[in-house]
Amino acid sequence: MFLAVLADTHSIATQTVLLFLLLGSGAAIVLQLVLVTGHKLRRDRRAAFEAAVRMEYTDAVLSLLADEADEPARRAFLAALPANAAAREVVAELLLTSVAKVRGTARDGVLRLLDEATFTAHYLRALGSRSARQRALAAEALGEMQAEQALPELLRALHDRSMDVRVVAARALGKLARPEAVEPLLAGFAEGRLPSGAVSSSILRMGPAAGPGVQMALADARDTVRALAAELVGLMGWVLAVDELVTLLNETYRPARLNATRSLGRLGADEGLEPLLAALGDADAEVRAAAARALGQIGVPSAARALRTAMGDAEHGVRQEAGQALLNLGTAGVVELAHALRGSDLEARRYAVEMLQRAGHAERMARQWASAPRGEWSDAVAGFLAALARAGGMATIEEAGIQLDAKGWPVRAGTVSNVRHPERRTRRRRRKEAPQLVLAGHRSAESLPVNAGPAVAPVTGSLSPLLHAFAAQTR
Amino acid sequence: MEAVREVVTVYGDLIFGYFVFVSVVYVALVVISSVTVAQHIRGERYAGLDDIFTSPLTPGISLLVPAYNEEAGIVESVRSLLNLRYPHYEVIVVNDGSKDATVEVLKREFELRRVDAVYAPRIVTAQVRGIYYSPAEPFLTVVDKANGGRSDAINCGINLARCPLICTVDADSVLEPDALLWAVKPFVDEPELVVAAGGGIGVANGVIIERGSVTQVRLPRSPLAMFQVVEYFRAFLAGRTTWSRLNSLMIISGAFGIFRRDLVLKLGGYRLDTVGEDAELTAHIHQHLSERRIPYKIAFVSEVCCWTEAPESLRVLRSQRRRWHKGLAEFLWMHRGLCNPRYGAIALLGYPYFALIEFLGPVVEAMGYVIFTVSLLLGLGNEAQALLLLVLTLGYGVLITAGTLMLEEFSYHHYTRWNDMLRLFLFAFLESFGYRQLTVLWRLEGLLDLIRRKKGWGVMERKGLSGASGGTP
Repeated sequence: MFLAVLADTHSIATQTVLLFLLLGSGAAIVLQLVLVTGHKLRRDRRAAFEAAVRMEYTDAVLSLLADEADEPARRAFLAALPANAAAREVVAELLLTSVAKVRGTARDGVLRLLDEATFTAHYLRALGSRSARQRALAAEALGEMQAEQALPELLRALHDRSMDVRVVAARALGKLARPEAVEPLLAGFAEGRLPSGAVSSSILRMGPAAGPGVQMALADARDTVRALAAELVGLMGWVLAVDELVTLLNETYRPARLNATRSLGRLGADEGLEPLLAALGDADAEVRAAAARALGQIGVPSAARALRTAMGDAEHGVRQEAGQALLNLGTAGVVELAHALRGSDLEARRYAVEMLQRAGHAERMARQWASAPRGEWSDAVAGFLAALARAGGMATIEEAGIQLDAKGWPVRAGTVSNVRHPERRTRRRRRKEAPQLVLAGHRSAESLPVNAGPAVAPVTGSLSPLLHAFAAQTR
Repeated sequence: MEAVREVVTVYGDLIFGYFVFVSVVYVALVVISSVTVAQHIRGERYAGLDDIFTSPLTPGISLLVPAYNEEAGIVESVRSLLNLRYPHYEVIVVNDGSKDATVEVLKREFELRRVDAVYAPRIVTAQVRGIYYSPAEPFLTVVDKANGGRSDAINCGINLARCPLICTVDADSVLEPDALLWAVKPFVDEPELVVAAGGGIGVANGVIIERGSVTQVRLPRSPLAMFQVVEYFRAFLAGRTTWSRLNSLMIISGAFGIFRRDLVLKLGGYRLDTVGEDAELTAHIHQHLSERRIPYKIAFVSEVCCWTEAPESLRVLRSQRRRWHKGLAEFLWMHRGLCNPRYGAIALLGYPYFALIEFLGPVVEAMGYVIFTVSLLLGLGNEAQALLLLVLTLGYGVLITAGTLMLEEFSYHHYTRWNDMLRLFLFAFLESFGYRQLTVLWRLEGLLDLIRRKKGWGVMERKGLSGASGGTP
């Protein structure tokens, strides 16, 4: 029928093309169905085979791991290894996955076994295989085994023509943790053979072994290498490199400066304090933000004042980091946030509100207000709440159901007409009494209803710095 | 009569030429994606996914979840998002002026506290009514804002995000627990180059979901959803895999995509004046970076990262497809500047593909059907040619789709049961008879919408977020 259809069309060429396409697509669909069916069958069979081999050897591998196996048991295990290459591969895989999970003598035992079963030699050979997949699998296995003897081959594999193999070789070198590998890895990155992620994770995995090599690279002539090294020393906690990092802060290459700033924070070394304070004035906003964060990580209280100033920075990101860093500073930071509530800087006030609310300080103060017996410290609570409200922190006031009077001071429910301005009251009292923060229930002459509270004011540790700030202000 | 015959013949030849062109392109897509996926699968054993979890280099991700009238499912979605396997991330739920109790439900469930957080709108959005934090879940933020549409909600989330990467997630879709680890891998491998990454999206209908995560992958019962399963495979596995390999991926679906936050901020976020905002953003990134000659990569992770509900009613599906096609036309027009050969692959392959095949396809196909009908009705004598063409077109459609299914069977193998495989092939075949024509019709309707409202392009569309807004596959 189709042939008749074809005959009707108007040119020989079209007919041929049409016929070809028609037959081709029909055949292709049939072929696809056959392929899929075949593949599905093969996949199921393969899965069943692997499961069977695993079943057979799992117990033996587990007892090897449990350190129960003595020499004869190991011999027996070796003798019982399958001859079939596919099955051997499954057993090798089983051993390799277990190596990654154990330490100490059990690990040594399995590694020796892999060696004796000639798996190590097999993988070393496979590194020269023609299939990129085989080379990558071999590199992965050698890394898993931490096969020291594979170091030269793995270093050579960093120049492999397949990117996959190079990346896997880099990872394997990380597991070997040999300091000789640091320089070739960084060179691989600089020459574009390796993505930075592969190099970084490899070096980080090496741990302290890589320290000296990376520290050297901080003075490398290549910009990108310096920047990467600056990030790595921080991530690996290599505190010996602090001096070099401080030098990098004056660098004109921005990524190096930025990474050095971050790393100084991660290392938490006091030597970084002065240069980081200077970096709060960097021309680049990202560097300033990183410096603020780093100061929070170092956690030296003397940075608090500078961070408060940074809360008024021109960039949102810097302000946010500075606020967060103040919270990280603990008492000194919280006090500084409290001062910022009443500072002249509008931006700093808004960020102080957010930080105090997010850390839960504002909410706890509001709760204190509701349940507190009055006293001088409760004036401080009132002062805090008034300042919070004035700086824009109305959410806390509203959620806690606290009423404010015309001047923005909190009043106790039902007593709005009676209340006198707490600040004025405090001032008057200050003239009469000793200027001293009294944390215990302090009776005043006023007849405001007092919520029944404990005799000793329940001022918790985290709140007292805040109260101190406000008591000092009102006194 | 003779004139009509002449016209029909010429048109027929044109359509035939177009058909050959499209077939070649599709076959190329399937072949390239097969190679890519095969390499990916073969390398799976040494991909080092665990390294990403433990590495301190893995960047933090802000998950942005726009929610509109989601009170029914929002708590479960947020719970499952808070339980992903990823070292450092935050979840920002943006309530886009819901008319139901979305915010109240969240407030109650997570003991949210309102906070006067500083909202620095680097991208201008509709008014923010409140920002909430949860003492119990320190990495959860809920924003309540006036209605402004999906893009506006995401922009608001971008303003509040603190992590270097942002990831958009629909409130009604379910992420794989490892989705972020898969999708972040390109960023970890090449942090200097990769600016965005998309992930595979599967149809959630029929899939068994327990406590917010997928436990068993099954096919949907509804035939309409089945057709979409087949379509998604074709679009994601064959299409996007290839385009990302050629570094000209033009669309990252709104249902799941990761972007560098600084770049998105620089570009002004999602545009409000288009219905194809997710595609528009991707194209915008291409244009911005190509113009400045900054080297970059937009990656695609072919694993299914996210399961999304496909519409099971004709009405919803129709409006979805109309919107998608209108969005496609809009972003192609907005970024016609990409058609500059100096920009390389994106200008020579990606853009022309979307313009000539995705955009023009339905027009040409509809023309084909018209000519077929005309020649039958008028008895012009070339019914045979027309019939043959029709059979071929449909046959090739089946071929391509079946090829994609084969690829899925060989690679990720989500649908393990024999029964499922057979049903997939059956629907790949049935798709060409009815469903395909319907989508052509809907897409033409989308074009008509566009032409009719040409003057109103700048007007913001206020649309709901649920159901149909999955994202363009």
